Amino acid sequence: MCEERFKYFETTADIGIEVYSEKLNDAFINSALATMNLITDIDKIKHTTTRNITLEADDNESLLYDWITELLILLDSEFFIASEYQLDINYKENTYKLNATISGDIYDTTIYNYKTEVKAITYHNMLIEKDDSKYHIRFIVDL
Amino acid sequence: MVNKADLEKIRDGVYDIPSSKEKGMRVSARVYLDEESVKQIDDGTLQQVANVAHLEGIQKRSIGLPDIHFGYGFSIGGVAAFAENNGVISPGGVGFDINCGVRLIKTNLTQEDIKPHMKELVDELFKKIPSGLGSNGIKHLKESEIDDVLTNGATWAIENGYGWDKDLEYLEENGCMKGADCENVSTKAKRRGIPQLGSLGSGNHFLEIQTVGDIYDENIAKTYGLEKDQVVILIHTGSRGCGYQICADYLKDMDKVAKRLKLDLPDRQLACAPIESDEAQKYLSAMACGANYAWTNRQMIQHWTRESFEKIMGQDADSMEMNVLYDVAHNIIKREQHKVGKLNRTVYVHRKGATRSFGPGRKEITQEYRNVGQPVLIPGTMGTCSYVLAGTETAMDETFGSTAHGAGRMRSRSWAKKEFSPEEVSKAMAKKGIVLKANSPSVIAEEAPGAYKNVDSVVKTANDTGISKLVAQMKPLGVIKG
Repeated sequence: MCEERFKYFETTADIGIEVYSEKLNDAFINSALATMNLITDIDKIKHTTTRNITLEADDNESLLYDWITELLILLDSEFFIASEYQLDINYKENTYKLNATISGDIYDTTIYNYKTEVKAITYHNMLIEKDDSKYHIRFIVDL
Repeated sequence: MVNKADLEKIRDGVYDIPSSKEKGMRVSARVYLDEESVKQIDDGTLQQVANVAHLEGIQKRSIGLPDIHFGYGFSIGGVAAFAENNGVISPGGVGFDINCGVRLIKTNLTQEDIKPHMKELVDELFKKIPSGLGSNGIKHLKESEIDDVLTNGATWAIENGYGWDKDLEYLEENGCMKGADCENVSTKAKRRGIPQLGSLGSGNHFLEIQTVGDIYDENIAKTYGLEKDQVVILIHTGSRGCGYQICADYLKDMDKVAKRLKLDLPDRQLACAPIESDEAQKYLSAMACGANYAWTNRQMIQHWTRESFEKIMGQDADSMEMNVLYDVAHNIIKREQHKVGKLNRTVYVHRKGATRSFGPGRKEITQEYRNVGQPVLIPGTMGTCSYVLAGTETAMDETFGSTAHGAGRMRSRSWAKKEFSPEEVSKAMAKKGIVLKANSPSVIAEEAPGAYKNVDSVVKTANDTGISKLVAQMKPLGVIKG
């Protein structure tokens, strides 16, 4: 299921993520799923608990950077990993605002598989653009 | 844009790209590469070395070491020094894993002594030292204690029973970087750091039991306390999520500064701020906290290593002389004095995937080693040899006292996973008599030695170009992998 919503591309040291979605919020959700799927098979994560996230940034790129970073913080600090996302992005008074409710489980490697660690999202070659019908997001994560 | 054709040979293994080759370069770019590596290096990596030469206040030259490969902003295996009066500080010149580094522990045991116990030793170390994704260290670290860790580094660990007082003497900065102000570390970074303190992590991090193979310089080896067949332990890890978050936080801040000051940067990941600016000073103090976290982390892992050896070998660590040989940082900024032209100048040396390689006489080196230069520890990849080298005068003259840090990835992780199966890699290791224990099968494939540059050729170039001097080789006997 997940593999259709995002694609990976190779870089020498790390890995790139590419997403095409009709709506910006879906593109952000798919970016999150793609990142988390590097860590474990994300569609196997049960929905036992939720978290709310609110973020503000000056531009879409910074918002994406903060969004992925927030998910990595939740994983390291609360061992929480989400597999279902509800998300809104609003642009108001020169600020991009994101509100999300995310559902998932406590990540326990005795229950869920473990593939690799994601250290961080980078700005390197980051792209968020919209053509006629779709949003295109591309970014690289540091592993 | 620069490319391979712009490389001008200075001497064997040393090439310059003159600043005239690209508009905006303030100084030349220099790489230390053998002929084979010159053939293999991609133009993107050379461009990164040239990009760094654009930054304000850069001194002498932008440097690419023998293990150089593509990074974000700065290449990995890159060094740049910026003048205190007009230079910049760039978190991208350190990278996400602040003070990712290596510690080498000596023993008085030989390969013969531990051979019958290898499996037990590896099992015990694997059990005792948390590793792998989201691996969590000591669970009882209180929220209030993280500030002490960030401020005091390895000293905190020793005060809390993780090691011996004399360990500190053999750590860069004695395991505690001055100027660390935990007020400049975000709550998010602290939250990521609290559960992970005292853990190895994942990716290329490892703990290895090794035996000393060839000795290349008897005199220096003796000074460092190394001899053939001796058992040593190498710990390779860094500042975990705490360091990653400090870097992520400040990259964002610097990005804003770069926009505000309208800095003409060739790459967004090179975001930086003038040294005297509030942002740069705050980053430096937060980076020092990240570095202190990493020294604490390695200190705790070392403590459990001693305990594991005590349990399996039935002797106490003291009688096995499990002393620290040295501990080096691979990703860090240091304020140092260096000769630039005829002047002694204070510079901020950015080392990203680079080891300090201070030559004989530098006061920063512990008295015991000062006459021969500091130990340089260069880990190999899983199942390959690692090396001890010594710092040199040439490094002081040419690279701001820096040399290579490891093998350097050459092929992508997905390539490695397609090319090697975890079973194959494990089998190949077993065939060489290496005991391997890892958390993730995919990490075993991703970290297959075939995906990396040959560490033997990296250290040979570092030695032949004079930026460090080969002292000893270590062969792996047992590997713990995240």
